[in-house]
Amino acid sequence: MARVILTRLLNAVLAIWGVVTIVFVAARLLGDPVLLMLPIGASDADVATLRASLGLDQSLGAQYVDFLRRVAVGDFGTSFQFQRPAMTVVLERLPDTMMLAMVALVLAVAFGLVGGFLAARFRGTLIEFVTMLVALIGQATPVFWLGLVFILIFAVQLRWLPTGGTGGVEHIILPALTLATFTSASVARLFRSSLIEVLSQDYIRTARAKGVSTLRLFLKHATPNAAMPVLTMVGILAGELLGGAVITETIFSWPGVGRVIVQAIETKDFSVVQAGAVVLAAIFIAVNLIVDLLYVTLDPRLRA
Amino acid sequence: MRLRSFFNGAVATAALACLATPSLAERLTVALSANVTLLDPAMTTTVGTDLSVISHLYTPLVIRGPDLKLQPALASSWEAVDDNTWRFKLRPDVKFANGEPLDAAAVKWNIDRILDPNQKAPVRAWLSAIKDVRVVDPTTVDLVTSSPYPSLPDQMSMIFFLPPVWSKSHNPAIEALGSGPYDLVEFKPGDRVVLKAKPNYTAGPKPAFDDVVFRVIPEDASRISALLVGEVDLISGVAPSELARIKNSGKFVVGAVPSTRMQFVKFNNLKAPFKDNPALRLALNYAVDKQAILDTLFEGYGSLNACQPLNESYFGFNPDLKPFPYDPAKAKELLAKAGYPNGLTIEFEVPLGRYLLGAEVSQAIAAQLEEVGVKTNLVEMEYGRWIDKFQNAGNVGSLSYLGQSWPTLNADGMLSLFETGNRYSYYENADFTRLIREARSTTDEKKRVEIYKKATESFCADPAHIVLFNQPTTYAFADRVKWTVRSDDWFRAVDVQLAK
Repeated sequence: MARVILTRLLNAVLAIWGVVTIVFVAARLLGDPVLLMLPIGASDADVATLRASLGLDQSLGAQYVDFLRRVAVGDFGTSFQFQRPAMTVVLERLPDTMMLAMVALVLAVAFGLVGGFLAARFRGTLIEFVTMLVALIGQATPVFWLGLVFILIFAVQLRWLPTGGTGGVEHIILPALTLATFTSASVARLFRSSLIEVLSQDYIRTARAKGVSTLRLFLKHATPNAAMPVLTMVGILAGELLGGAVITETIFSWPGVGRVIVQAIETKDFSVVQAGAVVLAAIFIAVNLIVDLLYVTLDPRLRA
Repeated sequence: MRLRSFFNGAVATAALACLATPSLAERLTVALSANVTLLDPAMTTTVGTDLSVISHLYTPLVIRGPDLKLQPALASSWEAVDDNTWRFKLRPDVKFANGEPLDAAAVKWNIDRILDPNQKAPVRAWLSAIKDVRVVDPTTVDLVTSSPYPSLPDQMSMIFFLPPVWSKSHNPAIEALGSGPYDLVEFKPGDRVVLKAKPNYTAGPKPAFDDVVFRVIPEDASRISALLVGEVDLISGVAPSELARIKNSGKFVVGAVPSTRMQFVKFNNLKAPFKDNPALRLALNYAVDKQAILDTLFEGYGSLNACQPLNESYFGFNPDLKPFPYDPAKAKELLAKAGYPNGLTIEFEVPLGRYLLGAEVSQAIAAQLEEVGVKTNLVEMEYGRWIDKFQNAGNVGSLSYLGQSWPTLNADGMLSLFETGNRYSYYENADFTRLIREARSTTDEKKRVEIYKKATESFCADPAHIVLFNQPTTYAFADRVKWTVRSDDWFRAVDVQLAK
């Protein structure tokens, strides 16, 4: 087990190095940040001074070597626009991001499992049809549209919840529901087909033959096996919810990591883009590592 | 069941939260459409967010009122003692919250900090003409420039001063210890800035609101919703088509003022077909129906620019010039004269997300140009990529949709954007360039107005771009307050009062 984890950690370091290198190159393809930092009308001399003081007049290779040397000791540089360490800028957004992703994931998995279960249990009935139709609509609805509709209904018309921002529990409900709608639809569809597949296997027939009740059959015998693919998917979804919630964050004015990275890309604030990419990559890898370990715990066959 | 009780509980919490914060008359909540990135006045040139918030915390030498006139702030008076020296007399009683005096030495420390190349201050570009800061006595400071700088006092309205001693041990990017009417309570990047009025502020008029909250709400539709439910009191940058809906939903005041930013379609006059072809430049100016664009896309808000890159707010504006009329017949005639009787095809670059309805306006202009035979390939691109082409590579497209303003509202700065040799100009008008350089050499305002009159005439005879209009600054606010909306980008709580 320890060896598995060690190998995975080494892989993770390699993967993160790959990510920072790609992001480093891609960020510099965006162009020159100095021109965005200075006001319109700045003279050539002003531009040259600032560019030199940021080290941007160096060759790309020299900048890369310098960058790697500093990243190795955890220094991701100072953000041009925030005037603070880039890592701080990203990490201070992390609690809000994690909270939103977590709540959304819990809702998505809960809705998804219930939906998938209903559809498989009542296969061929109106219940399956309606559940899967709702899931299809949930998956096909654009997030920005759904978010705005939620605001109009729950914030503007009913006045139950705030339109956005952070604060108490009430602030997280709409953005989490918006994110969960899409993700729960995928979970429901996957869980349904996975359940149906498991139900056609021999051991289920055997269980049925020895008189196990339908509910017990589903919950005790079929669900644990059918849940394995869902677990893999949850790992991927967690990563997506952490870094890919930009649209939801924007609509609900949620100060998340996704938004700060997009802002950094727009202003060519390389150091924040790089720090953000590393943080997200690290989280993504960590979540998937945990999922793999959970696999081992849940599936006796993998315990070698 | 558990889920439902959770939801009910949350709704109840939300309702309680609403009850717990009754709408205190002294609280003002302002919605900003972009993030406040930092609070260090040397490190940002963004007026609409960073500098607006900073202006509540710190004191500039002079301040621009909502009428766009300069008013005394830290400086009680100022004068040009010679062509290259501006003298500011400071109020003796202005102090930072920790007791540090905001005197001539503190002003010098701040300007020296900005000018220090190691500081990497973007604001340095505004002050790079300053050669020396001389402390004459604690309440007198001389700013010595390397060449005459007539609009220096205007420029100083955007420069704010940190406490020198405090700054040594604190990070002014996220902390603040100011001399202004408000203290910083909370700064949560990407979310909000919370300010509280100083109880014993004497250096200026007492603000009408005890608490001011700036909330960052990037999505336009969400910003409108936040106003409609009373979460925020002021919003700006509203799509003109939404103004009527907001007004009709009850207790709101909506409208627009012409912004100090002028929109135009920039020609790349350094390459064919515009290079050395004044007839073509004129032709395109007659081909665009500017008023129709304002009427249809901006609900009639906004006003046409009068054949010069200045408007009424700017010192040096020439009131005698009139906008180009819409005259497609004349445009065709000029096109033939320019050597394109059968029209031509050129590229038209549109930076996205920067200007109100930028993509829509560009499409309307492209359609109108096509009517006189000028076909355009519209290329919409991300602003950062476009500005790179524009300023760095020097190979911007033949046409680009663009808006420019100059924060000091002075012809000197604004017209320099069209001066031959300036990286932003893409324009070669020797006569015009000679005139604005001549204006720069004197601080005599009458003389300068006369020279700018000639310079703008020269521009109008051979325009650098398709002159369009002032982009309207649209706004909406709750009618419990009264906001003196300004046409530059500043967002200031001191411009807002409680409605009587």
